[in-house]
Amino acid sequence: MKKPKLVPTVRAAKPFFPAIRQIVKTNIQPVSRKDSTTMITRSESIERQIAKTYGTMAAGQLQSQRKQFYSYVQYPLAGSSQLNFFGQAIGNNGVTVEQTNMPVQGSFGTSSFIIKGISLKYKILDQNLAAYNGLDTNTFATEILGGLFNAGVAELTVNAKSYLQVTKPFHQLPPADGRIRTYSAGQVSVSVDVEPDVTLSSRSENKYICDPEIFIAAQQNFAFSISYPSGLVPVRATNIITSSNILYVGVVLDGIELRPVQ
Amino acid sequence: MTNSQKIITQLQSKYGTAVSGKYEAIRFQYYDYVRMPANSTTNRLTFFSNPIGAVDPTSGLAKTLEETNIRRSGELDERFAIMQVRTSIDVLPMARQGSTVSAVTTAVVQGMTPTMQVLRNLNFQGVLSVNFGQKNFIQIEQPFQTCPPGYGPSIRTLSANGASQSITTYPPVSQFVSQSVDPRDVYVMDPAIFVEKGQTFGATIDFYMNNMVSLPAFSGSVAAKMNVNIGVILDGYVIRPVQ
Repeated sequence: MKKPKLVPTVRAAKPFFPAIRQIVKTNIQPVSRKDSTTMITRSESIERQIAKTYGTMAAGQLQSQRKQFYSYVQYPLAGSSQLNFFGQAIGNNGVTVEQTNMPVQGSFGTSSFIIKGISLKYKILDQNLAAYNGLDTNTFATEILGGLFNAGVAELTVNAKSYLQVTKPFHQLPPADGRIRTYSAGQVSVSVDVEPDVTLSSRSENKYICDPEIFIAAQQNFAFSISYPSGLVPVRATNIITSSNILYVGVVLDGIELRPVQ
Repeated sequence: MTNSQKIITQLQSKYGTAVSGKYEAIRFQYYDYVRMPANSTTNRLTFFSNPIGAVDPTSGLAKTLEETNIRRSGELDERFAIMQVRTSIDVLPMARQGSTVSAVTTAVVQGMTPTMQVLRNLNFQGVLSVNFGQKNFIQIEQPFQTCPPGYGPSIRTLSANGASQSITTYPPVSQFVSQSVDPRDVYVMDPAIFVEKGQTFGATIDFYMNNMVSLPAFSGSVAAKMNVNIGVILDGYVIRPVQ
């Protein structure tokens, strides 16, 4: 009878440097049933040694910097029961850096992140009409005073555990970014009115501060959503927000990124 | 008692779903919105009594996460330290108004004026009471002004006099009434109130001088009234076991 060939439980990748071969030889052993935890420790030490010798970053060292991670999604004209953010990384389905700067979907990749503040924002290419005649459909202010920004509940979950639950999130978690204002000379004629100047709060004092901060470790999954369980909120300013002039709504997480030193 | 505590601690440390003895604190809000009665027939609004899924007695609709995040009547899910108390007069978006109201093409930028004027009066009324067990911990008069939400739109200009809707339709010119949007005006609990998990509590806004305001007809030609929610938001820290 032919003797069966013994296959180690962990097969080392084909070493391409003799030094790595040596590290692997001295550390990798077949897993014994009693010794599985030791195996994890060994693999960690191997990884550390390889990273130290050949890694593209300084093993074990981190640098911190202020950083904003953001994610914008299209607001559908008919409304949506739920908008999900940070679910796509740059490059997925044509997503550009104007929509998100997430390195991977639903996590910060190799970086850890301390969330210190959260802002909800919007962007649209063109808010202007040649003349304003006093109708809801013709001004973006409609959405802020009595439209889509007055509804919804925002939730931040980290590994399925809730860390934020806020109603009317576009007002409670406003941009607070000193956004632009429009100054007008007033009513032009009896049929051409001054357009309302209304925006989400731009005051820095209104920024939603996470106190204490929320720490999300590298590779840890998280999700941010805005849902509308009480009913859809279709766009009302339909002459401003159209299928070609798309309204994007977004979440900006402001905080400190901790990333490996290179 | 001591033994049972020890046993529970041991069981938790061996088989528990959370890390025994370790807690985390996160900023969190518990909130409850109730539908404002359209007519001046009530002298009390009651909060935190109808959890998610329960029917709001005025609107007749089941409450969702947009109206409240309490899961049991008069109880909080976790230990909670109340740091701020806010109230909110919340005119629902046009998509959630009655069909005759939302059909008005100038409903948002011009048509809300009569309702806004009544809501302005509401700001001067009421007493907010929050009781834990049978004991009163918060009693604030004119709560909509004393405990504003501290958030809201930033408004510089409104308009009204378009030819399509003359000022005779919506006299006077458009108005939008807003509680304070300045976070420095929010009512701060100092010292904070610490609420144990499962402790019964309730909040009311009472109108002793008279019944609360009666909402007006939307306009001269639209008799329907607007849907308005009144909310109480308790902002603070949830203290929960680490998992």
